[in-house]
Order: sequence, then structure tokens, then C-alpha cells
Amino acid sequence: MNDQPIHKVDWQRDGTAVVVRIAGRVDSRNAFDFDQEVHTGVLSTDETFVLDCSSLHYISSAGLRVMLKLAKAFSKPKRFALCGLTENITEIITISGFDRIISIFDTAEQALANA
Amino acid sequence: MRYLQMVRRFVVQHATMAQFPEDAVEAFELAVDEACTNVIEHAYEGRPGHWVDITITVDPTRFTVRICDDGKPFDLASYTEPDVPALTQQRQGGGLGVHIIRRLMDQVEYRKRDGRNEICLVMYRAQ
Repeated sequence: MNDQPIHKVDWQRDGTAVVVRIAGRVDSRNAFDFDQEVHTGVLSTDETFVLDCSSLHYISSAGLRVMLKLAKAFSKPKRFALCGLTENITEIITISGFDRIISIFDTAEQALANA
Repeated sequence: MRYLQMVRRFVVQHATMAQFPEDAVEAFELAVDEACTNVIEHAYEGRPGHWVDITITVDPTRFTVRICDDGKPFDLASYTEPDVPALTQQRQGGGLGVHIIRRLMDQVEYRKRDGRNEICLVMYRAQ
């Protein structure tokens, strides 16, 4: 069991596309911090937001709500996608039904090319 | 909220000791996390100074976690499955936690007993 209490966020911006890699765990304790960090980091000129979950070990509904807010903020004509989902994160995304409303790719490169 | 990690560890430790597979242990961890978060945020409306009682029962056929509180009762009758596409248009992501719990567990029961709310999360051991 990987029980890292705090998420870690890494931003990479290329023009109007941003890839945000999140690591660790997002739950009701730190979802607010994650939300604030994303909110303050996004630029009004950003058009594509890719959330790289390859180092995300755990997410609860509190973290999923942050994803929902991002999906809403980057709804068409902007673009939002997830990439790098591990097996257990994929399961949570699927049972939550988020796979029906959010584009999911294997890698950030694929997400940027196709989102 | 700061005790949630302790609760999750408690459940993970016992589910692992009961020799449930890793995916079942992870399911329990998340279901208990969601249930306790609902107690803190909804039953106690985020107010500090309240208790949550957690009991684990292991038997040859199943693993049960019972979570009790004396806050505002959960209204199962008014619960509806979240409409995920519609959630992107709403401010709240309401009902997601309960939805996740129900999908992860084999059995979920809500009871009102002696003025307390009780939720039982049950997973049966694979035969």
C-alpha cells in the first residue's frame, strides 16, 4: 500500500497546451489544495489541458470532482483529456462513468495529438 | 479529515491480514474513505468534535466494515444514481461517493439503530 499523503504536481506548458502530471494520492484531505493549485496555474490562454495520471496511486470522489471541474472548464471548443491511467485508477474512472465523458489516452503525446 | 488516513490503514491492515486479494483491499480502502468522508461532510456537516465508530468483522465467507455515527441521517429514499454527463454542467459532484461505494462492495446496507446511523460494507470472499 502506497500511502503518500500529499499529491505532487508538475506543470509542462507548450504554447496553449498544458500537461499536468499529478503524483501520489488525491482524497478529501488534499483535493481542495489540488483544485486551488490547478485553478491558479491555468492561464486564460490555455486551450488544451492534459492530466497525466501515470504517477497517481489513489483518487477518491473528492479528486474526481476536481477532474469534473477541469472537464467543465475545458469543455469544447477547449480540450481536456486524461492519460497514463494505472489499473486501479482506470477502475475508479470506469465505475464512476467518467470514461463516458472524458477523453482518455495512453500517453501525454497521444493526448496532445488527439484530444 | 486528518484521521481518515488512520482509518484507511486500519481497514487495509485487517483486509490484508484476512488474505483478501490486493484489488479487494483497495476497494475496501476507497469505500471506507468515501463512507467516512460522507459522515464527516454530510452527517456532521463538517463540524469538529464528533465521533465515528468503525467495527471490522472477519469470518470465513466475508469481510464486513460497520461505520456508525450520530449525525444527520442519510436519506436513502432520496438518493439517485448520479447522472455523470450532467455532473459536468453542475457545480457539485453530488452522489459520486455513494455511487462508488455501491459499485465497489458486494453489499451495502444503511440502518438507523438506537438513534445512530449505521452503514455496513460487505465483501464476500471469492470461493
